[in-house]
Amino acid sequence: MSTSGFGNKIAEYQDEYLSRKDMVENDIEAVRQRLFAPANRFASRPKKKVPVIAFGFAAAVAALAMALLLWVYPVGQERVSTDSASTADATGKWLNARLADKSVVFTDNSKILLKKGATGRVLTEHGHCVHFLLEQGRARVNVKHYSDTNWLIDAGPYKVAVIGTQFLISWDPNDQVFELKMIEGIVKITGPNVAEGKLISKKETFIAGVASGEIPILPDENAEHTDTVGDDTSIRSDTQTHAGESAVQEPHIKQSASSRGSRDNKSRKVLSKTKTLDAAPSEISWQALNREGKYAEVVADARKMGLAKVFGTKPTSELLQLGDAARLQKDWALSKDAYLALRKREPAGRNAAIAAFSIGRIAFDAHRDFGAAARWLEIYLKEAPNGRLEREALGRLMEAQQKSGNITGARRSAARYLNKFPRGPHADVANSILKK
Amino acid sequence: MAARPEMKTEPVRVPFIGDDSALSRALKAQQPGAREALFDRYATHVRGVLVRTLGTNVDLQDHLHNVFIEAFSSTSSIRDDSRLKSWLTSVAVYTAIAHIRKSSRKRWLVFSEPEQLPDVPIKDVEVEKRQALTQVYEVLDKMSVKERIPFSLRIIDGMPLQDVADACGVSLATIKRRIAKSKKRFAVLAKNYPLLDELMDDDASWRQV
Repeated sequence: MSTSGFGNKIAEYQDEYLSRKDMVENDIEAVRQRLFAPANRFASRPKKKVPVIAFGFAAAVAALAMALLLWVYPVGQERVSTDSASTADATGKWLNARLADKSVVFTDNSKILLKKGATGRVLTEHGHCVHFLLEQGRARVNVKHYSDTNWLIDAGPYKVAVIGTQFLISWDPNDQVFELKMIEGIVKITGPNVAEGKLISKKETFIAGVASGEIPILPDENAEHTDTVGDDTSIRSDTQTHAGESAVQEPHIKQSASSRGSRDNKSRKVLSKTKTLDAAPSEISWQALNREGKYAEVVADARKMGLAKVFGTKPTSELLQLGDAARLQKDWALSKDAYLALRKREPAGRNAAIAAFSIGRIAFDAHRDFGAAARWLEIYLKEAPNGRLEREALGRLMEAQQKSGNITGARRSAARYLNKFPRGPHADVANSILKK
Repeated sequence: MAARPEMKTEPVRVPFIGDDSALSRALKAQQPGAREALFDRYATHVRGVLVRTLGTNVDLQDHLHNVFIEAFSSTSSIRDDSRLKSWLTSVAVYTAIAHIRKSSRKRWLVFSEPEQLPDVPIKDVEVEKRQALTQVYEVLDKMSVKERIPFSLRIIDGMPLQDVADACGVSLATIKRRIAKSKKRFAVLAKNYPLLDELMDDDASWRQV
């Protein structure tokens, strides 16, 4: 039912079209055929129509290519071997190692060993090029190097470009933690906070907590790794942070390592140290850039200076600007780190309170982590009891508490909201919470 | 090089039984029949969302197809299994937004005059209603997607506010602001269309805008 008489009329007019049963059924049946008819099992997006003769030509070319492929790579050499009794999976299909380890061996003896509990899939492959998706869990990857080797592995928001190498990779979608430990060779990782790509070489380990906003850790090259190759509990690091990161991150890193350690009994130690950077100070006013909507420039400028230096030396008002710019660029990790750095430098005050509100907003809008959102919004309300964001913070707090199942808290916040902002934008929600 | 199985098994398709949470988990686990179950359960709803947001002057079949292809490839993004419908609505909305943006880029390239635009392919609907529908979507074409989508879903479809907020990926407060703003913007733009102006005049809530 529409909410206005006008909207109702428009909906009614449209429904005269929509409610024509034959048209609805026609559309749905046609799409159903496209999606699920046997010939279209691997349906793709609609393509432009091509003359029938072109299909004939394409079929002939495909047949020729297939014959050539079989000649170059005889079937006997192609295999997927499994270390478990479960059914083997074909390319493009789901690989499930939930019950036991499962390996995919390619014709050139490149191999992906999915550790127990992991799932993934080979998305595409041709020549020595493979695109693999690690959905969750740990995997050991051994890629044979050829002149045209080109492997890409997706794990969460990170992409790992591989040329020829051995490494251990893991992705935990629940905690949003990505880890990669190099054994041999070199890979390039791109993803949150490393948009421009980071090269990781032998004996380096890369750890990134995406949800928590942790900045990836890149240990020094001489870091020791004591684990055994192929060992199930293999990703472990005694590391130092990369020069690009600062002491500001230390609490997150330690906390993260500790929580993971308690979770899976892995022994992890992350020692961090800050190195002096010699980047030139920024001449650009971030506030001015933000006012012009040039958020990308603010983020780029901060990265150019080095985040460690920025977090350690920039005025807190500038850190707030950086946090805002990164947030508006949807670079949640950087945004949160900027706000946290601000709060570390200036634990009390207006900017710290606004940073708390903004972290709560990121948790609410970007991560849908309503528990964390509620905690940060409460911090804001405590630190800035009559702040200019009080109405918004209280409204969001009420929503976050409701969504996270804290009904008592939501009712308390709703009453508080109505008492202070009886005609505010969240008044309807507050009333509905109190009526329940 | 190719990875091939030593043996192939053809999955047996069985009807899916279970609520949205079960269906969501089945989709994530790539269980046979889960995709078809999703399509059977929500194809009509998705089509409805597309009609509201894009109007009827589009290839609904293509868009419906695109929504489900997108949905099938992004089931890992379902955060709350019990809110499967809400998640699918947001996929439909983002597909609609992509189409609107693409169309608006094309309009800049083609420079077609309004009178050259194709008519809404509706049969059996009176001329006035057809004109009203055409004009509504002409006005919506002039609005930004941030205004257009909430307007379509809330004002035309009457979708609950929270559902609109979820579909657009914003908070309740934000969606309320956007809806209020879009309503004002629509009212201003619709003044150039006497038929719409007349329809809005009949509605007391629009006179306050």
